Amino acid sequence: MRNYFSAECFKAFRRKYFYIALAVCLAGEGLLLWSYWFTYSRGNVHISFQSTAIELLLMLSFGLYATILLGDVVFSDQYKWGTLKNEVSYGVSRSVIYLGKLLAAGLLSVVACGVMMGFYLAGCWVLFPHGAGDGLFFQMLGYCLAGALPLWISALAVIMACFFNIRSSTVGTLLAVGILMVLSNIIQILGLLVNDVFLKIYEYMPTVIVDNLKNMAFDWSYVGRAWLVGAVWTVGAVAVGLMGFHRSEIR
Amino acid sequence: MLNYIKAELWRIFHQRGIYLLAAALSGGTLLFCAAFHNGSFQGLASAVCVTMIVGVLAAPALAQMVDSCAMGTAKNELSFGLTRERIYLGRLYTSLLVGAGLSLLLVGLSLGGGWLLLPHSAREEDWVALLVAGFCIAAAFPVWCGMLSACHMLSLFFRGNAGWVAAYYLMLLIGAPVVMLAAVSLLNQLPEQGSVVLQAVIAPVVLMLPGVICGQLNWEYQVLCWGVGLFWLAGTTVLGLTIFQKIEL
Repeated sequence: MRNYFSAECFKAFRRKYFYIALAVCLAGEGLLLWSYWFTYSRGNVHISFQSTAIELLLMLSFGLYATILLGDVVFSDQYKWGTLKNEVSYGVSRSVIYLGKLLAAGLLSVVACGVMMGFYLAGCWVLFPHGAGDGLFFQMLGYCLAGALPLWISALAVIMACFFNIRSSTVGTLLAVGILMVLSNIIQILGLLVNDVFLKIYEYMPTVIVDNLKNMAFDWSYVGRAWLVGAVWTVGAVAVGLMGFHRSEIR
Repeated sequence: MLNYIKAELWRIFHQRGIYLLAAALSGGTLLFCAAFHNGSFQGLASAVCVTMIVGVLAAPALAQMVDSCAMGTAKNELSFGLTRERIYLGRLYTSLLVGAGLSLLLVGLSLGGGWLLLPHSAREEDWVALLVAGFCIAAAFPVWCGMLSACHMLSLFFRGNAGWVAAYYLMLLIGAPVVMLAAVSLLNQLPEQGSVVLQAVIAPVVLMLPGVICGQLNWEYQVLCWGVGLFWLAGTTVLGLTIFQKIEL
């Protein structure tokens, strides 16, 4: 497993794809920082480290959908190019292949998250004035990250299950988007039409929890709910993905 | 060109994908209508007005119906003697036609089904609600076409489909709000209308947000939507055609 994981990381970190995607995201953050600095330099007194850095907490759902891109960096149309059957023919067990790629995508995600958040926060720290609210912001950041992390991991598990079990990467991507984005809305509608129990289920959907985290500070039982939901979705997605991959014919 | 479009339509309608997409969108439409009709056709028509963003969200799936194997088969089409321009534009026109057909299906299901099955209030109120829904759809249509053209360009430019599809949704969900935030900060000195236009040009999805639609039911909004939609349609077509003429197939 260790050698396979190293090989996957070597491949992922050697490709330009990851760095181009990261550069585009950092450019977007740079644009935002520049726009805030522009208005601050023209006398806007409402701009501060806290008021700009807190925008990060409004974009926690980015971590859910960014896993699709990061999963694609690692998996990258292996059914289309026929390289997956080469790995299986070589003798690597399907479990090692699946978990190795999942862990590699996870490492990529941690690096990307660290770089993007670090860049934005460093920019806000350096460019804008500080105040008494800084401490509160960091507490909020810690709270939101504690809740979002297991949900981001569960999204990665879902996307990898889709990539491994659907031959078309586009259909896999659209299915993952459907599960992450659309499913919660369908459950909400079912709650309005059919039974209130669906509204209860809606409250336990990853997208809903991620979007609601910033409003629930500092209710640590809500973070507990995030960890429980994240663990269930992760274990479920890995189990379904692995089982499907073990049974599928790889052409 | 017509023969090429007919051939593409034949291929698309002999595959499962389009029927699965139509079924999924129809199912979602029926669920939405069942949940939000508020007991009358007027209520349904009002609810339909805030669903225009669905066309923008469905664009990548529609583009993939037409372009999923394009980069693999394009060299065969070129060898046959078709020009690159015909291949690019033929697939674009096909995707726009299929998109228009899907839109008609969903509008027919929602508004047509609602007109037949739901109770009506005063006739004049129903017609006004229908006109407002028609106004929203007419404003959204060019934006849908612009986004579909952008997806068509991306699907022929990027070898990996998952990457651009993921990037498209990320741009919609996160990129558009970031652009709006940046625009609000940078363009503080501009008149509000100028700021709105620039945001719409950079991120057309903002025109489809329910909050924006509800407050902008005027002819300026209609003109803005047509301008932005046609700008994106023309711009992405020119850019896509230029790239497609130069890349090695």
